Amino acid sequence: MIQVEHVHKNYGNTPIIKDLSLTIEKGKLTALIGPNGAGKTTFLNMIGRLTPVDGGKILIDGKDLSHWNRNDLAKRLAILKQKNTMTAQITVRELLAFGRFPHMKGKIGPKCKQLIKHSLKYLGMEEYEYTYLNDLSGGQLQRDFIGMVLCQDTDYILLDEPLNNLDMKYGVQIMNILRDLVDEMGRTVIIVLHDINFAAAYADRIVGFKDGEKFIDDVSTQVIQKPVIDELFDMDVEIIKHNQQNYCLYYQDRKQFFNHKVHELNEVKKAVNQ
Amino acid sequence: MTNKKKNSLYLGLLIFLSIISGALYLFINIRGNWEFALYLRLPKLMAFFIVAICISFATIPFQTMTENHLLSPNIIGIDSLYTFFQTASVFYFSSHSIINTNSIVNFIVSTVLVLGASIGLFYLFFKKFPNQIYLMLLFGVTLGTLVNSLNQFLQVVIDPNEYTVVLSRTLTSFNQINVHLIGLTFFVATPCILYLFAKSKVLDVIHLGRDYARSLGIEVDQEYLKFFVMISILTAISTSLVGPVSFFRLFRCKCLLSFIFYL
Repeated sequence: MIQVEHVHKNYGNTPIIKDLSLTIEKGKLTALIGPNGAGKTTFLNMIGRLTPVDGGKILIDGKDLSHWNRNDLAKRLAILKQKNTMTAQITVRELLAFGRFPHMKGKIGPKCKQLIKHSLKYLGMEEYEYTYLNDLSGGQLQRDFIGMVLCQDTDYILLDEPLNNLDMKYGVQIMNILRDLVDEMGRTVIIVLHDINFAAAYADRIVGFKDGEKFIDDVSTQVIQKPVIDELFDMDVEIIKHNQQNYCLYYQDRKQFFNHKVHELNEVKKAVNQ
Repeated sequence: MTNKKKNSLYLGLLIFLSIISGALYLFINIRGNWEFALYLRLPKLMAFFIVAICISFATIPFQTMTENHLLSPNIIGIDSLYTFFQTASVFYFSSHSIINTNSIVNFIVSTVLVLGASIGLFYLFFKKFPNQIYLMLLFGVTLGTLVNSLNQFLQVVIDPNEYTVVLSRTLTSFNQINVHLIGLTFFVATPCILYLFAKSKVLDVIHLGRDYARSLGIEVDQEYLKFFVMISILTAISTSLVGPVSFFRLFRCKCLLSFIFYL
């Protein structure tokens, strides 16, 4: 279980996260949604100890984050970052093998080989096993990094927008892999998603972030409701029900989109004319 | 052929070529007494060898830490500092003082000074202003220009005879290398090189970037500091041995010229 208690973070003088308290339950898939700049990536980085916490504390399995030895933490928690680029000349297989570093410190044992083989199969990268990373497309590279995080074989898996650059098929495949990890292996997954329908379809709990604060923290069916989404994203959306799950239709034409904002537009026009 | 096999083949070929070049350098065109020729050539070859290894072992971690494959540690201006120390020591202590007459004392003192300065510079560019490659480059270039001007000024002021001592130290030269210095360099370089070899796996992971390295359990800041110290030591001793070796330009040129000349 991850407990976040009264955490806040500033970049310079700008507060990014303001007094956030949250509990992430073990063995569940939690999705973090919210508008740009709401602090989701910063939040994830703080849990993964990639950026320091300015105030408050974070407890992982009951132990304060700053008391964890980094190597032990790496065996317990793995994080996938938003931007994945590669300058080194390494093959797909070598990248996946990096995921085993906290456990094996560079050597490859039989369990490692098995995990790598599994990951390659799951991600559909078997034929690219020995290809160099700069010969791959963006989506393939993204899948490789996800594979590296999977090979790290940790209890907690943190993913920052993993479905970027992925086509529908692989988007769905990754979400199914994550669901398998949660349902069959009891892992805990925290995932930042921009497409809230993926969150609606696959997440157990959804946490909404707005302006550095927790806007809502509830089961997915309660979060994907019109008043909640409308206020969280400042839009006028439509909620539909399908297969006992709520989904959000937000594809609007100009008239629909600006109608919602017509009040604000009028204010701006008035201010400009004055 | 898989990439791995290709790489092994290239590596083997390069090793083979360097052994052949070394052998050619030692044995080609010896007119007369073999013992005498080898006595002159062997120290030079060993100096090539050590300097090449020191510079490569210093450059790879540096390139990994700066995430840039075109730079070398000299960019921070270490060579200019070395030149400045040599000029200043002749100016202040005269060419008769022990620093300038005893090669070993000079070697140790200049290594220690360059080491201290480069650790300071690394601290500046990796801790205080991290990820500012252009600032680092600008600093190195500016420092180089500053030292050049200072040298020229001191050249005008110093007695020309004394200045030849400065010149002999600051122009890169593989001739007249003190054998004791080579031994000292080996002695200092070997533990550093072995340490870097042992840390090579860590360096591989750092190649993924600071954040992924942290995620995989590496205390990045501490490792960076350890690598700084190693890079500083290796660059300092190779500079003190043969003089400033920016990008190994002079060495390559000399190599090429010698080869053409002997043909």
